[in-house]
Amino acid sequence: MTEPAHAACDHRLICSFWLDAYRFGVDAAAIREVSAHTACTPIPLAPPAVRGYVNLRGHLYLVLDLPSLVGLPASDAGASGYLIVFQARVGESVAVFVDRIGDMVAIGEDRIDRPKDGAAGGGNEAPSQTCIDDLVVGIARLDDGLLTILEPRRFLPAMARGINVEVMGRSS
Amino acid sequence: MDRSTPFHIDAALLELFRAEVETHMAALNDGLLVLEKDPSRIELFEALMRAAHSIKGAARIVGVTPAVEIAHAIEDCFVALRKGSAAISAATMDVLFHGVDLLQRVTQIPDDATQLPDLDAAEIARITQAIAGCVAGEPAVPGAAPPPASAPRTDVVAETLPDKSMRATAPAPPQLQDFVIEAREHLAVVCDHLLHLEKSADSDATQRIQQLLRAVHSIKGGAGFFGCRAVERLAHLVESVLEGIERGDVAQESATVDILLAAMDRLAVLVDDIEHSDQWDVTDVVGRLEALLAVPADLGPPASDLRPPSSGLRPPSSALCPPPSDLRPPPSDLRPSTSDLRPPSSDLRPPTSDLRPPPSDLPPPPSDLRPPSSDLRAPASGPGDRSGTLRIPVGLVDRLMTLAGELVLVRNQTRRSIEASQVLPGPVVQRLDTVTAEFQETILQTRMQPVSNLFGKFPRLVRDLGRQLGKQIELEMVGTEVELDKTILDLISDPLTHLVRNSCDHGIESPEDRVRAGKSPAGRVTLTARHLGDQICITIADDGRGIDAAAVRRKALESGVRTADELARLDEKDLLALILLPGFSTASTVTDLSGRGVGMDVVKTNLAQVGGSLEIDSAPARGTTFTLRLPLTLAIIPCLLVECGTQRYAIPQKDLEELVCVYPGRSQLRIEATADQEVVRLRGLLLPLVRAELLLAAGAAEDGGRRAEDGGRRAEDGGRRAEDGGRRARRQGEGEAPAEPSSEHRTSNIKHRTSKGREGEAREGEAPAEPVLVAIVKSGSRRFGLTVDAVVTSEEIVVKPMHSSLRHLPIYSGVTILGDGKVALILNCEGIARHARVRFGSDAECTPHTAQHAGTETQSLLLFRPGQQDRCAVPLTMIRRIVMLQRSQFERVGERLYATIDSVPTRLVPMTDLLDLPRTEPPAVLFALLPRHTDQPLGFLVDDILDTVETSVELGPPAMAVPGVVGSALMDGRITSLVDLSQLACRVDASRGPAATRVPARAGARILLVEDTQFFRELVKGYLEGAGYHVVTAQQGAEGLEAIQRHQFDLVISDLEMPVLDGWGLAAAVRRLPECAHLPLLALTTLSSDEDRRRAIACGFDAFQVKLEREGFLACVARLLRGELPAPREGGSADD
Repeated sequence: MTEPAHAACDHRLICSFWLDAYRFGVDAAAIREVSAHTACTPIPLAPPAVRGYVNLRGHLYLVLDLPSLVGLPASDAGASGYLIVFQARVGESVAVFVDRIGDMVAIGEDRIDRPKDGAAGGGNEAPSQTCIDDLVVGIARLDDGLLTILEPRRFLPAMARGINVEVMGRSS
Repeated sequence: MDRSTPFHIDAALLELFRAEVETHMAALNDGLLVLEKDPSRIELFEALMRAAHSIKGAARIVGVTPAVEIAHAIEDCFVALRKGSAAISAATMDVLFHGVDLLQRVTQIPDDATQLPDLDAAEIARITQAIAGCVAGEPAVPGAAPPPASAPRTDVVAETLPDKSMRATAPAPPQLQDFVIEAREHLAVVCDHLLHLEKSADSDATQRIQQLLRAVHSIKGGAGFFGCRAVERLAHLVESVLEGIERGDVAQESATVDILLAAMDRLAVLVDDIEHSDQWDVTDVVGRLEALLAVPADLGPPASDLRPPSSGLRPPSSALCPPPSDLRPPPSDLRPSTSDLRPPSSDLRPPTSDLRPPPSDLPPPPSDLRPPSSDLRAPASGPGDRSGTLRIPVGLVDRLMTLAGELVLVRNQTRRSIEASQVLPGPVVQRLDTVTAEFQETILQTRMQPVSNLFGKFPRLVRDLGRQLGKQIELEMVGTEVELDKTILDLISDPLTHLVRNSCDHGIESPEDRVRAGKSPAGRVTLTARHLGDQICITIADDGRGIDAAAVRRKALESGVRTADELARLDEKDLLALILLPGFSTASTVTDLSGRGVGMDVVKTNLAQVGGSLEIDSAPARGTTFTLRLPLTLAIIPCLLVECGTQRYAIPQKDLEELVCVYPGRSQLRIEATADQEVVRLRGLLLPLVRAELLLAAGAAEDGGRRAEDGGRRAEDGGRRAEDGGRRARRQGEGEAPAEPSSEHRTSNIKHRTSKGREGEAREGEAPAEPVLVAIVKSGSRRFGLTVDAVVTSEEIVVKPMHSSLRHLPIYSGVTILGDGKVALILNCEGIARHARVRFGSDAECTPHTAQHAGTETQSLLLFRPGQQDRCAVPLTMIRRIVMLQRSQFERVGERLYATIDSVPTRLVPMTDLLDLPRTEPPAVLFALLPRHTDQPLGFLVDDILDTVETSVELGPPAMAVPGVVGSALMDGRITSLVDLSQLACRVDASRGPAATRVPARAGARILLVEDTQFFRELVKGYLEGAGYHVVTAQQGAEGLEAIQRHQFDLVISDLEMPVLDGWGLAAAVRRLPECAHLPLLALTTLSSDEDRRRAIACGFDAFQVKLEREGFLACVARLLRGELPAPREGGSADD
């Protein structure tokens, strides 16, 4: 298990962002840069959670479809969104599109519920609890609502497993 | 140590460490395995020691202390083994394997490691102690390893163990280091000279000997000065032998050179370990050298006279050098000092070593490592002597490559904006252009290395192999200055070695055999490298016995990799290529072949990895040539950029054969559908077709929402493809005048006409009956068509590997950034063929006669419209040519129409007249079908050519009661009459009677006709019955055989290619029946090669007729029935 080593700190600095109406966050230290939405080249036949390649100053990043990873309906925000590029230690050249970038928030450990602790508090708000369990490392109770903390290191493995998006999320 | 110490390491450094460890671990493992099998391979110790040493060094840098400890212990062990102070035993090997395994585990550091892998310190200690125990002569792994072997181990190194105190040594004085470096240089030159010396014809032999003498003398002098007795003694003896050669006392022959080379190898080992050189056993080499000197006892001075100088001329060494024991610190301090002494040597492999490092980017080529040349260096020492070289990590060069690529992008963007604003004058832009291009080119060059780096090892290899095999082999190398990308060079090193070995071992015969075959006793292997367009072509040619094609054929049949039928169709080259099949070589029933194919599949695989190919040419008794074709570089490849949907993709030029544009309604080049896949008909070949827009549709569908799961999508693809085919066909039908005949036919084949057509419909709207662009691409030696929406340009692109989590996608080979900054995926044609499940025919290409359903024979029919309505068909084989004619070209001579075709006045007959069809106003342009077999030039005029189809039709009774119409069939849902052109031709020239009347027939004779194609069955039956014979038909060989056994026949006519029992089989079976020994057999087939003819005759056929010339056929039948057996050649080719 690659539980972040800095769990000892009292506060965690989380970069929050929005997908549709849901607020998520990742460890700010895992982010390499945030840039405006960039043209993305789709990769036919790639797993469904792959959006494609983006070229960022000569370096290619693989953009994952975060909504599909966390079981949200496809985002149609398209060009208005942002690109979050992660550090190399998160995974090989990986990035995600998000709809909006939120604040950087320092969250005390005491306000974070671990999903495995049985603290399903806020589970109603998370879109599809079953499928995103794997990516969610905590749910923070903020003054203005909940924030689901994701572990970006698990994005690539989750993509590779090809979590079947059709089973979840979608109301069929 | 504290195992939980936080561990910080730079990612790049870690990468280097991993690469380094990987390389050397492989060397360690491989070496140990070899040693285990063959403990006498003492030369491996050196390489193994270096490998362990390198790992130790690397581990120290990144701070993996446990690895340092283990590697150190292993290194010490090899040092001891090498010196003979320890010996190899099973126990030692076990301990070492344990150590290597542990080392492997210790060096596994994950990317995100914040601390070192958790390891049992006790285990490390135990292993290191056990290894140390081996050194001390008592290998033991408490609780883990087998008990120590107490018996004296394999006596590899004869000399006794030096006293332990002797092993301690002082750091070498700087002068000694100089000596070592200098000696190494001399030795490097010596080997080369010796090899030349072996070719006694060499005119400058004397000069070479002089150079050798100088080199060896220098070594001797230095060794004497430093008191390295063993080195000195060896050098002295070598010098004596060389002098002997010069005087003519010692024969200048291979045996001598053998011994000298061995001595040089040993000298090199001693020099590398100069401090302990005296402890090395040199008695064997010394013995051999002395023996050389002793042989011509009457000529040269006796050996005993020669030896004294080594001991007598100098005072006893002990007087000169203080006892070593006084000077030397404990061995643990010794390693670092030795390593500091000769940093480059860790990468210098001794020439004898078979242990080459696996392809790695790290070890630099040995040639770059030689220190600057000294005054004594021979001028002929090769291109490796470059001073001013610099070792750069390949990663850095790669980074430079990337930057160069980016620079090109920036340049392009700048140029665009400049051109738009017109601020800067042209010259500046041009300058930027050239500089950038040159920059990129130069960066590319840094990756290039001459093939001489690779070829360099072969002279020695070939020589040793020759000696070993008792053969005389000359090696010639051409084009060693040709440069190749380093990555490719590394990757083809093994395959090339294998091929050279192969040529020496299996290609070149023994001298006796060669003389017997009228060749010179010395075989010749030629290595050639040359540029061939954007490829490098390396050939390995030998003038040996060649590959026995018959043996390959036999073996392929035996091992079941190919059926007899398939083999019959293979040409020579394809047949030889069979030896590249995996496992082909394992069976060794054919002695000529055994070993010939060993590992050949690996060779092929390695080559395929770098986008290369291998071809084999062989002429029996004349030799074999292997031709490797390789791309110059993998980093930048020329590609064709195409557009599919909204995206651009790159197709590597090496995969691209041609681009064709298929216009709807044209009959020569068209898209058709067979039962389960679309094909494109190109110059008579049917190539499978893949529609890229469907293959890549998933990308376009992205905005349409989530994409389906992969498997589902693939199935869906199939549906879409079929759907699309049908729709396209419909479209074409509506488009140009002739309704595309196969459209209905095709539609009926479509299985999945389901609801998935949404995208397709959208596309239909935007592209009505557009011409289709098809890129004909190669997948290995096979070709298929790939439709694309548009061709953008051809461009050199910088290849970047696919993201590692997408490497499983077979259809891409990489990705690139285009000039405008957009990303394009590079298509992998082989992968596409695999992914789209393209099915190729059994031949290299899907030729019409192989694109058929299993079991029944299909035939190619030409569909045409004689007049306005009726549809007719005729077998393509009956038509010689189709000519398009303007009505203005017609000439009327009396009642007859003529036209000049190929400057021959040709009579034209409207088909409508012959078939009693309503005569209408013919169009301005008509087609003339020129039949194959006519006495006079004749053409049948038809209004339109519709199509050619590959089909097996159910033949019904003729719809028209007209002579010349054989029957009718439902094709594409319409009644089509099958026409016999021969019969029509007869009707045209009423003066000519049927051929059978010229050769009197034996009326009433009973003939069995075995033919699986209904059309031909009816046709031939008609001919025969028309000539007055009684005909019984059978649909395939087995049925025919049954009939023969039950009834009496005067003649059997059989097709060759048939299901169940083919014609050859039938003939063979008939000939085995005692009562049928003299039953005339006639083969009637579409096969027409001499080989087929021979084979048919060999199987028992009396005659061979090519389908289907009525007159010749009937004449042949008549002759056979009268008991005249035509000579094999007389069967009559259809074409004469």
